[in-house]
Amino acid sequence: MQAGQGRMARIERRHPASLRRTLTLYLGVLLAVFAVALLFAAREYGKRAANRSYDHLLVSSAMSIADSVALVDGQWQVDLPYAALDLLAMAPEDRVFYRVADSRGQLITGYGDLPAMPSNRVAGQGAPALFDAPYSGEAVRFVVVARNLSTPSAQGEVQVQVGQTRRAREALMQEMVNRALLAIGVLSLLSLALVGVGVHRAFRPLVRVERELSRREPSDLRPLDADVPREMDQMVAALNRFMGRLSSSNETLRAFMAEAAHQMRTPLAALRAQAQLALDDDDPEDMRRSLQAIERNASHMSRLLNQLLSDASVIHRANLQHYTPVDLAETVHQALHEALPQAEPVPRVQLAMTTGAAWVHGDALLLREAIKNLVDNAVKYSNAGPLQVALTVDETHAVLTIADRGPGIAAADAGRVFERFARGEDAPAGGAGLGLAIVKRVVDGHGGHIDLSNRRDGGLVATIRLPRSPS
Amino acid sequence: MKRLACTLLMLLASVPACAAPGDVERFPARAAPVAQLRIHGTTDIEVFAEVIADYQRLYPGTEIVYEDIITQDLHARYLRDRNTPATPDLLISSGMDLQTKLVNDGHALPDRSPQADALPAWARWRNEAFGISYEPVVMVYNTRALPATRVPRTRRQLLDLLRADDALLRGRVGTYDINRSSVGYLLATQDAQRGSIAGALLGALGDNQVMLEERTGVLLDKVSSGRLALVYNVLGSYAQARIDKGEPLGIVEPEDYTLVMLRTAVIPRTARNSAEARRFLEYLLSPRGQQVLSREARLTPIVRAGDRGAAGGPARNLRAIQLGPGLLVYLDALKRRQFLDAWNSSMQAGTAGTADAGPASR
Amino acid sequence: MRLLLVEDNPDLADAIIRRMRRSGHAVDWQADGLAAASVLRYQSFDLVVLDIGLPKLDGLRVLSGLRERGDRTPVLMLTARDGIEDRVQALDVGADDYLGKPFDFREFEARCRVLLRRARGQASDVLQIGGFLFDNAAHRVSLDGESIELPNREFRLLDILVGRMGQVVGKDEIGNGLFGFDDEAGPNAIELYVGRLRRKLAGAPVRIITVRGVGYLLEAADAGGAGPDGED
Repeated sequence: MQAGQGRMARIERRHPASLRRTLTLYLGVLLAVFAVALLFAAREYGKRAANRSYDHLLVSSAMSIADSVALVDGQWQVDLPYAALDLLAMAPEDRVFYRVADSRGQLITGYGDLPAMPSNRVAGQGAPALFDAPYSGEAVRFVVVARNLSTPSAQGEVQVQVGQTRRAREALMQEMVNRALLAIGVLSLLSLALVGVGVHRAFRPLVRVERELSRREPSDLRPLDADVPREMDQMVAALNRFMGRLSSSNETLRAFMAEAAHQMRTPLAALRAQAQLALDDDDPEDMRRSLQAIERNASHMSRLLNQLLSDASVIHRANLQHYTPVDLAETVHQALHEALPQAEPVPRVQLAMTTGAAWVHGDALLLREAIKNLVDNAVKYSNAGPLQVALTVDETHAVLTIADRGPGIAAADAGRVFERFARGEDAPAGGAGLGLAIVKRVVDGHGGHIDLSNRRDGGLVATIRLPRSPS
Repeated sequence: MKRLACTLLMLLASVPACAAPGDVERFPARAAPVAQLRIHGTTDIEVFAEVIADYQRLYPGTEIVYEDIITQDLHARYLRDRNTPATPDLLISSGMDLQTKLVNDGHALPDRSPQADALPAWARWRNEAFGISYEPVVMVYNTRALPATRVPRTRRQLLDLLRADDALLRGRVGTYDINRSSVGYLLATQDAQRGSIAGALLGALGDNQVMLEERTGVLLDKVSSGRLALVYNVLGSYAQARIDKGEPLGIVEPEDYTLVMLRTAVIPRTARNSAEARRFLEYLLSPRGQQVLSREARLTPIVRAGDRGAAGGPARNLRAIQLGPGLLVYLDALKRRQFLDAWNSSMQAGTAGTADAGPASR
Repeated sequence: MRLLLVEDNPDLADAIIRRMRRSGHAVDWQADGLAAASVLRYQSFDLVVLDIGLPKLDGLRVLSGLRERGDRTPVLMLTARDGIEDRVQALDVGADDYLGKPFDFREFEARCRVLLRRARGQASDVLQIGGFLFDNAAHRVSLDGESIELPNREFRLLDILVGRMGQVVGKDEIGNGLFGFDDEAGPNAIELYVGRLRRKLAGAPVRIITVRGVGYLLEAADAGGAGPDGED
């Protein structure tokens, strides 16, 4: 226990766990990953969009050149349209290159040394083939458009290749990426801010609870009534249960103390009254009587105190629930030995025990005290009449009965008898009234059941059933 | 022998003092030389000398060598000489299309400077080709030969004039021979791009026996002398210089649209003194450099191009030729062939003027 | 006075009984509530000392039964339970006073005296007429400063008569106040006591008057009035 606590404390000192930090970290990482992914996507999109727009121009240019090709007397004629290259001025910083060649690659006009199309691409009629290749010291985007011409006299295929450097594309792409970056950045910041606000608001109930708790009096163990979100319900419920247990435990203790004090007052009053009487008395006989009364009451108080202390320790111990295998038969013997009065009158006890051991899983001391209580009650109420104690086992349980020939329980008391400090109307003087409540507590704690009922021909039988231990 | 030497001397002495393309001039450093700069340009050396001189006031340690080359040669020579020690550090040319092609083919170095970035978007391409001046392309006429009422203000009016019954311009109208003049070719193709009237105009010019010349100077001389009444599609800056000298010339910026040509600078990739080239370029684009250009070369500053039209006077319908890949279209061999064929056949109707073997047009 | 003590602890009861008898009171004792309730039905007492925690029937039930019958006998509740609620409950049910155990005897006696006095409408324990002083609290009678020794019974008799001063007290009532169930009193016991008392009070300015067939009365002696008539 100590070691565990020490380690916990050490861990806490190293990283005081912060929900806020954890949440923010996770969300932050998520946002970052997302932002990076978005950035890549934006870049891809930008590249594709830029390419697409400028490719359109390029293709238009090539097509307009292709359109201007004519086959005249077996001779290729190209009337380069002004717009073919002027169009490309839309990319203000980019150089342009063009080439018109026949199907054999023979140059008709233009830049003869343009890089050829990659072998896996084919420019079909009207289907432009786009590719990138380096030329003149820069990366250049090329399009190749093929056109078939047939005239009555001749026919042939011509390939028009137009190229443009990539500055404008790159600039457009960069601009798009920058814009996207800005948007992503702003969005991320906003998200983070929102997350921060959200987290803060989400934690408000916690703060509320904390504040309410700290405002309370130390002794205030009322259940928390804070308005909390569903996720915190469990915790608050657990806290309330805990406080309830603490509160009832405190209450028990308080009632116990009050009752203990109360129980002591009468003998104390008697003691004092007799003492005062004796002081005023002259008659030695009377004085002797008083002294005897004092002695009687003092010893009664001492017994009472012992009983109360024992009860208190049983209550405490019952809370701990340190269970081990216990032989109930052995426990019954011990309890009888301790509970039966040694002095006259000694009640007659009829014992009917099962052969062998009756193993249960429990606390030997508690069981002993409980049985002692019952025996004590039986002795007290039956005025030293005969007792019948029986212990049997069945498949699942061990069953102990303690029967007396006393007055039994009045119907009116039957419901209250297990309540702490409840005393029946026929209760003899001097009982603490605690015994049965303790017995019930112990039996319940062991997973068992206790029953008190009147016997047919007078008297009370207490029946305890306890689950057997597998061993 | 002595007589031969004297004749030679006299002959030599009679060579005109004006500089000519193919001329190289070395402008030594004013102070201890710390840097060198080789410039190839299509502008006259005399005109550019002032600019260089002013630059050297700012950077006295720079020695500058300026070579005056015609437009198409400038392009070809660069490609030929680019890996030799004679490779230029800066190319300044009116041949916007050829400069653009140099850039397109990857021969240029980028220059990012505040001055460069201050240029409007149509005046630079990829920060590798920069327009340094803004020159309207105009019609120039002889004020004595053409009464003010007959001066055409638009191309349509020119067309009407060419078709007029009194054939005022017959045999007395001129323009660039685009077969030989690179700038002329550029302007003609731009015209063709701009409007449908270009074709009709060409036909009308042909019908009027248009005189075709390679060089601006020659054309303007002929207008000045009265041999030609009007020349079409010439650079206005040269005419303005002459008008300032008192020649009886008039300039018309066609109101339907006036092409504007940008003199274009490119720093070649193989430049050995690229830092100096950049510095010179930035000087050209700076307010001071622009002012000098304007004053000396009558080249309208490009930086104040945004103020166009605000200075009062008739509204000007200026259309700058844009630096960009569009200019590559008419450089295409086949396209060029087709265009020249069509153009030449339009001019068929008239007789072309004899080509001078002199300096090409700027 | 006639007292009923209802207390289940024998030693405490014994102490109280001995003490009260020594003061001259007649004390009857019951040890459980049921017996006490039935005794109270047919016997009247001057004071009931009632313990709450009793077997068979608890003190509060006995008390409530008494009060329901209209019996106004003064009751002093005695108990080990000492909470405010218990006190209030006892007083509400009809107790006249309440004393928690353990108690000091002196307090117990004083409270009994108060209740007895109140029942008789007396304001104090002391009667003084001229030089005659009757002090119930101090258990002392004196004439002109000199003590008159009285045995307990005679003191009680004087106490009874003083309590009903100027009124006739019946013989039965006197007998009731002087003798408990266990006391043996002869038929002439009362006359005997009255005679002895008269003699001892000879010089006092009070006199005991015999009312034939009814009882006795004590009154302040002034000039005139019937002379002491000792015979009955």
